[in-house]
Amino acid sequence: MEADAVLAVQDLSIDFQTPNGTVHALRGVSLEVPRGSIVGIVGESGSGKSTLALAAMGLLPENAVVRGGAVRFDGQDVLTMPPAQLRDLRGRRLSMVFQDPMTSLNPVLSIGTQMVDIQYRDRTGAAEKRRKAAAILGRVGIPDPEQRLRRYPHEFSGGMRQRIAIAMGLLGNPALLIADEPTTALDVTLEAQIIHLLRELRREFRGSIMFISHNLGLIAELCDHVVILYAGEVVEHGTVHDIFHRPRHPYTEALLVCDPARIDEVRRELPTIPGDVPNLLRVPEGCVFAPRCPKVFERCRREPPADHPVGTTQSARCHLVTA
Amino acid sequence: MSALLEVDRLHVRFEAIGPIKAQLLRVGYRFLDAVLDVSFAVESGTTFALVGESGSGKSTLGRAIIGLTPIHAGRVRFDGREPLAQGAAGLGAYRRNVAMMFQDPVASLSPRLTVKSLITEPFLIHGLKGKDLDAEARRLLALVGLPGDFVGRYPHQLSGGQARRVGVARALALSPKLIIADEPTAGLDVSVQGEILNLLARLQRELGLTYIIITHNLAVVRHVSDEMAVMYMGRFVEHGPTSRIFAGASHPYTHGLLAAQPLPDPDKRRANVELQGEVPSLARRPSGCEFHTRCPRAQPLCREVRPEPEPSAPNHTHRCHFPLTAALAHAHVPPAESRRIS
Repeated sequence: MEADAVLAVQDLSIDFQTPNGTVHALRGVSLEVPRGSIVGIVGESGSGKSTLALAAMGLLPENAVVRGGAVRFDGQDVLTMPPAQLRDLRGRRLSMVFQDPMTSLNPVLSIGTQMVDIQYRDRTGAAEKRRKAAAILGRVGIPDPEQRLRRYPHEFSGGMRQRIAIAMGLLGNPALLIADEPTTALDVTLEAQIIHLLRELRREFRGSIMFISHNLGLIAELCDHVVILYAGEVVEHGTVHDIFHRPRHPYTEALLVCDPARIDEVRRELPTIPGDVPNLLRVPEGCVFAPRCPKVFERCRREPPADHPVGTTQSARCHLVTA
Repeated sequence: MSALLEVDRLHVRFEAIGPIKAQLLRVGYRFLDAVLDVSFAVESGTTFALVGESGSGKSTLGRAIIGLTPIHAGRVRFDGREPLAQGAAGLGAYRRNVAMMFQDPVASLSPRLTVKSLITEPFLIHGLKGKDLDAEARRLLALVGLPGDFVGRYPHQLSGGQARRVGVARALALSPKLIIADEPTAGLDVSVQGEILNLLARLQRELGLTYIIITHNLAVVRHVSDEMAVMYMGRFVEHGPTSRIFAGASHPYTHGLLAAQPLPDPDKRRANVELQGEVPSLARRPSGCEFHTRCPRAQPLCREVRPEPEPSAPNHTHRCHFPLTAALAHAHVPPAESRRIS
């Protein structure tokens, strides 16, 4: 599996320097995106999922400090790569679709101009680049693409803008597309269309997708593998069936229980996870989930659990897995 | 039990372009009808959910009920009176009884005011002097489960869930009878979403509140509401008891919305997308049934004749020439989950 991973994150730790102190945003994160597969990254706000995406793209902000680990894309470490080499990778082999299609497109340039601009590496002529842009717009379901190239982002609806952002991400035929909550700004009907589109495109372009979301329904719908992040650590990972049918970490179990879409019987009182996500300025000793865990016992507060394998495809960072 | 709120054939119209420009551009119809012919009643102590895609008119309807958006035609009756027709004095009293929780809790709280100022502002606006504002602020915070020392905090010092609770506290300030909550859980993590919904449920039990919840999250609607209405291009296309609609939707649009909800189970993936395309522009309202452009069951009749509300069952109406319930009436009605193609 190791050899055939497009992206391999190994023991990655990232801190942020803030006026209030050092935030330990990611701690010892390891994960792999196998070639041709869709890996879902699940986590609540503050779990570090966007930091992970930015690290994979080599787009970490200035105040981020990499404490250790590596992010290998096609075997090369993105974190230590010279800027020129990284620039060559981004937008071509490695691309990203952001959360808000309103802010990720330039409002003062027509989408045709933007889509030709990002092909700056290619030696083909402008007409050929426009043709390629129109072809991919058509592929993501924008009707009448040649005409639409002349339009500006505000002339499209939210769903159409997100399709355009996906088309731009696919222009370079990337080996890995990172999608950071690409449907949160959209209605369910459009969301379903975008998820369906991503699934078709994966088959067609044979690339891999790292899909970041807090929506468990979408993860189940789209992904092959799932990584659960909590407070900057990978608490569990496995195949989509492992995670949804045989979760082993109490946090994963609690997340699944909380999703109102999974509760068959109608009830006014919904389950919650009591307590708050820990403040990452001071990471708790022992297990990060211990303060909120319903199954907590004495050892959890003292000793951080190791990542215990469950079978061949799954692992969970919990003392109970061995006990 | 009589209805606390009755809305009768409500119509909200916005002017899209001015009369002179319309003449110059030869535009025949220069209005956007955001809410059209909407009638419903909400019983005291119950929860009514308004569901629909963006642009369906659900937020506009909420704003029109509370008098923030002018009504073009129709009536809103509250506690037997017609507050929107009574001028400023009547409106003031009405707005003490009806509170609004706005969509984005952080954006709807002024960043320059402390939590105390934010939640006691309604007293000042309504000229209710002689209240001990400090004590009131602490009482309201306790009601929504926040510690009393939050009075001195500013909105940027609150988490998403806490900001939402402050929004609830502010809505509760004047002890209203009805709260209109616009997307009360949008943008919250699932665990926090449950906390806010449980808080609203507890307050309803303790204070006998009535809610209108505006949302696009159907999983939430199923658990928290007694009745629901599905809006499409400003109209109610289906309206009835929540449990009935989830057991078997009559309108193809409702069915499509339910089918579009992703299920958190990898064994229940959907092979195809039932509802294609997007909501048409209000400026180019389709003829006949407005949904015919996206409807998988559309017939020639749907393009020509606009369906009127018809009963599917007692208290359950739909606007559709070919409702699904008619086809299902003799068949076994499967639960929402198993209607998906895995």
